[in-house]
Amino acid sequence: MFNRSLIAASVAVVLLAAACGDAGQADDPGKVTVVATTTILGDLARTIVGDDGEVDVLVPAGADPHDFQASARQVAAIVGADLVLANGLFLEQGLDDVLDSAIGDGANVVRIGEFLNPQPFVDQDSNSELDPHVWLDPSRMADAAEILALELGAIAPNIDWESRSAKYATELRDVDQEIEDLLAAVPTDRRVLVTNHDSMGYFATRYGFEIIGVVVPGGSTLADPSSAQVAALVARIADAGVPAIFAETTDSTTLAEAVAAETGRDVTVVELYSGSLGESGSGAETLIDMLLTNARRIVAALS
Amino acid sequence: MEWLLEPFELAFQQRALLAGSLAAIALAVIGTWVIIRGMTFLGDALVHGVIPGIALAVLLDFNVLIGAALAAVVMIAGINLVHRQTSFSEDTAIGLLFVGMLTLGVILISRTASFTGSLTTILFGDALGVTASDVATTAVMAVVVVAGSALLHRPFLVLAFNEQKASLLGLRPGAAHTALLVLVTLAIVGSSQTIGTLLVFGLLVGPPATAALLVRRVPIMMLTSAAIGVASVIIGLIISYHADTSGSATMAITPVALFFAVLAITSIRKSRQAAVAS
Repeated sequence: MFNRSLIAASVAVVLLAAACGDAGQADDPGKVTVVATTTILGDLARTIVGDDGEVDVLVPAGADPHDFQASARQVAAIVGADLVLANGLFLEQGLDDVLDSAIGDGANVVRIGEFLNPQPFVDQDSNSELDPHVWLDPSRMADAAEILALELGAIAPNIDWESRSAKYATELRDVDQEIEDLLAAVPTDRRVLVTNHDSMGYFATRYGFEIIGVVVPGGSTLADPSSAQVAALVARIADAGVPAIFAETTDSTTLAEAVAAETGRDVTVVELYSGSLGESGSGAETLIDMLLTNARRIVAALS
Repeated sequence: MEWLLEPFELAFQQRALLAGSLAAIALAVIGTWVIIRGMTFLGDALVHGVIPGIALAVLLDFNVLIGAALAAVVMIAGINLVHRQTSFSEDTAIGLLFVGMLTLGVILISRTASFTGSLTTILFGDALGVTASDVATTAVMAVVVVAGSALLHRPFLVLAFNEQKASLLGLRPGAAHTALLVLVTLAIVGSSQTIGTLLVFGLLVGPPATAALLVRRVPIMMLTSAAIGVASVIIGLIISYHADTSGSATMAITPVALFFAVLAITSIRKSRQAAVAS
């Protein structure tokens, strides 16, 4: 749930700013208001903004950002915020209309994924769309922290955002190294992934894994695999001797479980945090914890 | 008073109010006929039945309204064929075409990599995200639907209450039925594109059903229903703003809640009258 006082504060700033006829700038130069679409971007923004502003997150923890529909209050916060941090690349499908119309009303929306050298989905034809799951690569998120600092600098130049972002970027690059060290336990011939949705492309590219199969084709939540696709996937899993299918905490694992059972071998379905941070106590409350938790689960499943 | 007006100081709320009200008026007028003629299921089926047409339009890059119209023509032709050639009631025909068209849409979408995310959010709009040009589109749709319904009021009325008499009067019930279907499709597809399917349904069924509980004459029913529809949009936007609930869904649930409130009041009144009479 959202913190009511945070929302009240941001709405107060919105109305104040609207009253002054200048919605782009905060009236108190020391406090910036940031609205982030996902919990992951919210964590990034909170880390950089710290006590110098308020960060609101739109899509709650554990929810799938594809299906989210905003309330009027949240759209008001989007229009009035100093900065709206979105992922872009069609991740926030339910919000794209709202974000576009808010841009028309003067909102400052940054779709950060577009600046992080996005790559196409792995499991699809060459003409397919770009994969939005950029946050699963810590080195890309280190770049995102630096871009965010530049954006915040344009809003409140009196605060030293860059040293904070540099510190966080260094942490993320250390995590990147830590994950690489963790994954060293997985021998080269076992570096193959079968995933529920096509969400692990950046991870695979960064750490030298091969995605040999995806249970649900395309990116749509309504898409269904054909029986030929499922049969081919089952055969591929058996051939490669893959011990696990990696699913998402935000989506149903029914089909993945069925595929795992169909192989007739000991294949487990392992849930990874992909679309959202975990609830408190899950070990995935921050971007860094989430990436490390995912890496540990992958190591445990494959080695 | 401030509490009621504050939500509408924001530009996106004003656009949602405008597009929502225009759609509410068109849907109230056409929804009155839908309720009287018992075509609610057809309305539901039409929204989902146009999905393969829209998907094809997105894939092959032509206007989505043309895609939707093509799919609607195929669907209505199919329903009429089943209805004429078999002894099944019309809901069987609608059900067959509904599931047939929707699954065709899923097959098309599953074959292509260019769709990510949820189907309805790609193919349909959100009331809080409407642009000025969306408002203009909705206005054109509303004018055509209301004018069409006014011009064809007599044939629709006779069709609704006495289909046999319609042919005796030379009012061609078949043509009137087709014209009504065209207007229903236009109202549903035209407003789904801007304000989303859920809200379109809420406004198509809720206000006319509520009006039918209160008044009997068709033009009065349409006016009452339009007033309830516009009120639902306003109430929904105020609640969504203050209670922090999803915009389109809140506007859509309001007329349904109003229906049950009115139903409760009218049944209490009826049972009191019955008690007094006995």
